[in-house]
Amino acid sequence: MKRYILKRLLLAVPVLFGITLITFFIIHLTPGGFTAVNMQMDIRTSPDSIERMRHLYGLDKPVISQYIDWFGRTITFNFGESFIDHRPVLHKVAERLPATLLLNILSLALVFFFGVILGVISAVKRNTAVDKIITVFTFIGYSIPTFWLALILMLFVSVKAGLLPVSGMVSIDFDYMTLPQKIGDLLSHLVLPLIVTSIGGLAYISRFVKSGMVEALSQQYVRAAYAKGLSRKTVLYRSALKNSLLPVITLLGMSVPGLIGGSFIFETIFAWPGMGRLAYESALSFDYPVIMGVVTMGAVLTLLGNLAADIAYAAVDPRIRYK
Amino acid sequence: MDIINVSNLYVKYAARKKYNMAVNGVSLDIKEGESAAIAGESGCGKSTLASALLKLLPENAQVSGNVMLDGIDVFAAGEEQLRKIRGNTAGMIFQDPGASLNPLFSVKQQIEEAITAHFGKTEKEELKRKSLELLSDAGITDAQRVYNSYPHQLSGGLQQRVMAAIALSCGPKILIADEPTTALDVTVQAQIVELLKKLKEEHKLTLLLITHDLHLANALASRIIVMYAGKIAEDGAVKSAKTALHPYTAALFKIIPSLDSPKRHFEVIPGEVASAEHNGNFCAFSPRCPYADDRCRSEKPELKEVKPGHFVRCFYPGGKK
Repeated sequence: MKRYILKRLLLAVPVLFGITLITFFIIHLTPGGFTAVNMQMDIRTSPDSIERMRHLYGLDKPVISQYIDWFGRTITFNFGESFIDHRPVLHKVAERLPATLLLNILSLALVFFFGVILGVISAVKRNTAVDKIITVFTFIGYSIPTFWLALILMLFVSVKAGLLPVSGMVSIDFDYMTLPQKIGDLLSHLVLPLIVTSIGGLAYISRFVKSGMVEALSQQYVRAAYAKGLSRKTVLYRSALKNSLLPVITLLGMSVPGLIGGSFIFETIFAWPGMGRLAYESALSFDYPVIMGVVTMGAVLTLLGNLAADIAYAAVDPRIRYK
Repeated sequence: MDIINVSNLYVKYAARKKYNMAVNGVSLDIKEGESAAIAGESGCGKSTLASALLKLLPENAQVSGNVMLDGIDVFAAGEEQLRKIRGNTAGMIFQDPGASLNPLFSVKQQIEEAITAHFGKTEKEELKRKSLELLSDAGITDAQRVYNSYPHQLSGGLQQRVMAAIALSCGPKILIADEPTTALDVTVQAQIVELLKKLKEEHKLTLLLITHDLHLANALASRIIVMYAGKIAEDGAVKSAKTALHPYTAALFKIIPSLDSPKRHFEVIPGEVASAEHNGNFCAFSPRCPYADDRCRSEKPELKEVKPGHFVRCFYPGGKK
């Protein structure tokens, strides 16, 4: 097992290298570029000062040597500083990360917790009214355009009924609140974004778990488990459930990068100060160091997520563990 | 005393707006200690009958009739009583042992969960001692290794032995073996047959074998119940095509390929297997029967005792012509 993990980690290095290389070239070869967007709009800027700026940031060098410079810095965990406001990339990310992590971890937990429960109920009570209600709900949840749902919820719940704050992560007077008030304030701001970010995934996971569970229940070993005289509860929640959850592990691993990725659309609609907006803003202004920083961290997490999923798979499934 | 008593059993499966009949009125008594085999082609209802004995039918199955196992009415039993019947009264082993063992649980877990399901929480040491004893009883020489293994690490023969150990873990009086050797190698098949014989003797079991293989049926059972189209066609001590009284049984014996036979092709029974749906006024086997005459095509035969203990559903027992 240790050797396997080590091998996977070593294999991840060239993949990571490839991801950063491709991203770097795509961004740097995109028409426009940092100086075009941030300086040439102003007719007073002289070509000379543009050239000086390009030289200052090393943008006049060939892209390949720029990449080598960037790579050399990055392996020492120095992501450089933003071209726009000259703050270190790590600080900018650190500032935005908690908001995204808070929302996405909660959402992921909700999605998997309720997704598994709904899926299992749906499979166990197959073809009953309960199953049909869950199916309709998941069908709607999966196909509903979430940005539209976000706006509708804001309109009815927040604006018309005034039950919850419209947007943002905290209220303006957050700093003057006591701790319980702060928590309450944060939670009330979390409700709508959580619903909107969770609903699609919830529908997806519950369908997934349902089909896994239905499949497991049709297996011979389930019949054999009944024939042994195990109770229905034991058969369902011990023999069958474990088998039906195997594919969910893969999905969970695939969701890890989404934890820091954030979603630009929801973050914009709800004015949520997260990573999605940071990435979008820096892409618009060709803020190369920030883009590359966010991409690299995302890539590392993706690879770690996949590795974690594989390890978890091996931990659950002896057929993989003892190959 | 009859340990298995089936009376007027009908089983049908619901499928889109209609029903598919699988068992079409079977009545059957099996005495304690007897070894009986239920034989027939696929689709004759033999596996459905076996599943019905332990109420292991899929959800879309509809049952009528009565099954008594060791004096307990199976269809009327509640969940707790049913749990006792499965395991304590009757153990069951299945066709494909690889699919019957849960791939994610070790042999240890799967055998011990059966024991705890019936005897309640048991001390770890006691559980282990018992499990190892059951495994070696099922003819496993390196019980310790198998005990700690996962199903995929075992050969088909070992898997079936583990299934047998699990089926016998709670001391049942009846062992139902549903095509126990079908998915196995020929050499392993022979070993499993020996094992079943041995277990039957040692545990004084009533053995009910479900098979399509009349040789296997003869090797293990003294009584053969042949099913055709959801009904019993013949029931008795049939040893060969010559002693068979129903033309279908005789045909089943004839199609067994033999190494000594000079023929270079396989015998087949012409025609298609009749569905258990069949309710017309004629013998279900008549379209495929070499002896069928007008009477067979216009009247329905009943199961009759032709010799003591030998029943047959045919107007011309022994294919007399």
